Amino acid sequence: MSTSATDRFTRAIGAAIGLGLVAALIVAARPAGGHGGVLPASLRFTASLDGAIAAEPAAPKPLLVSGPMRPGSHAQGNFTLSNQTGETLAVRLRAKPNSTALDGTAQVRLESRGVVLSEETLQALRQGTTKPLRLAPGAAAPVRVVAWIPAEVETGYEGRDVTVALEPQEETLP
Amino acid sequence: MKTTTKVLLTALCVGALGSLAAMGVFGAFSATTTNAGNTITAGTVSIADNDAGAAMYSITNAKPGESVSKCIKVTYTGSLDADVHIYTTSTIGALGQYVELTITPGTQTTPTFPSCTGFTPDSGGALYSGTLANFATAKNSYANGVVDYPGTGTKWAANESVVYQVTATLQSSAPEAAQGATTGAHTFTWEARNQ
Repeated sequence: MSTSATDRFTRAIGAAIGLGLVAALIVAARPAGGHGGVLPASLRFTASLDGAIAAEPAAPKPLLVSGPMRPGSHAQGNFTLSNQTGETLAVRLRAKPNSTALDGTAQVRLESRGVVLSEETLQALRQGTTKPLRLAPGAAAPVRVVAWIPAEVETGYEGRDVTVALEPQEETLP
Repeated sequence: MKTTTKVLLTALCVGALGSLAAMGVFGAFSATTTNAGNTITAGTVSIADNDAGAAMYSITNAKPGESVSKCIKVTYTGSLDADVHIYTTSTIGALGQYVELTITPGTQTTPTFPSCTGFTPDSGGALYSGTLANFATAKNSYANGVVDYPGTGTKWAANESVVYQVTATLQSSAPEAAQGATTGAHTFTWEARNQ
């Protein structure tokens, strides 16, 4: 092989190696497919108390910290509400998220002793649970919070981190 | 390639590179730094009780020596540390001078307004003990109201609460002039102000 032929061969090999390295770099940096390659969402719930209704655990202590959530992920937490008044109360819980980032994406179900108080989007829960929780004077009731991102959701949750305060709204019953 | 050509080409390359370097040197220097996301959110001062709008006591036809004892739980839900003072701005009727009032802070296992079942007074004893009339005279604003904190603390923090036992007694020694008299409706106020 002549000198010029050797040079051409060496250059070709060098170019091939360089192109291979660039291709490997691009492949390594490419986000993974599906939902695994995007930032997950996270949800945190707290229960607020007022003078009439006590909550345990009460804010700022969280009752639910979801961890990484992607479509199909579920998280749940529990807390207790107690009526401190001398009246029978109908208590509804209203969500006050610190942002609207997951309003239409996250679904939330609140239930107490097997009765579903509401099952709707986080946005709808801003209006309060559809069914009230009836509490006699001095009575307490456990409440379970289940939050999830529906499996069919494709986008709109990535990297969203929302804290939701559940605030009691009570009405005196006769 | 002739030596002259090589020299010329080298000079050309050096000149071109020098020109590029000069463009960088004489170009406008620029640098920025940012501090984003600034925001101010005010804290809150919020206080509530468990009376659900009902009065602690309402006695009619009271006789000398008759007493009523009720408990109310006061909860602070603000985000700022606060002081709480207790006072009344009500005008007390003629019977007020014959009604002994005691306000005692404590805790209660299961607060259920206005019951005092399970109430345990704090070791410090009563915050106020005197006639209802004197309370209305001496404790009629935040400035001169009775000061109290949860436990042995010096502030009210979020979600802290105190149960107050309020005892009102018509003096056994109430004179004939007290017959048919009334205190009138009166309101106790717990006011919180941030520290």
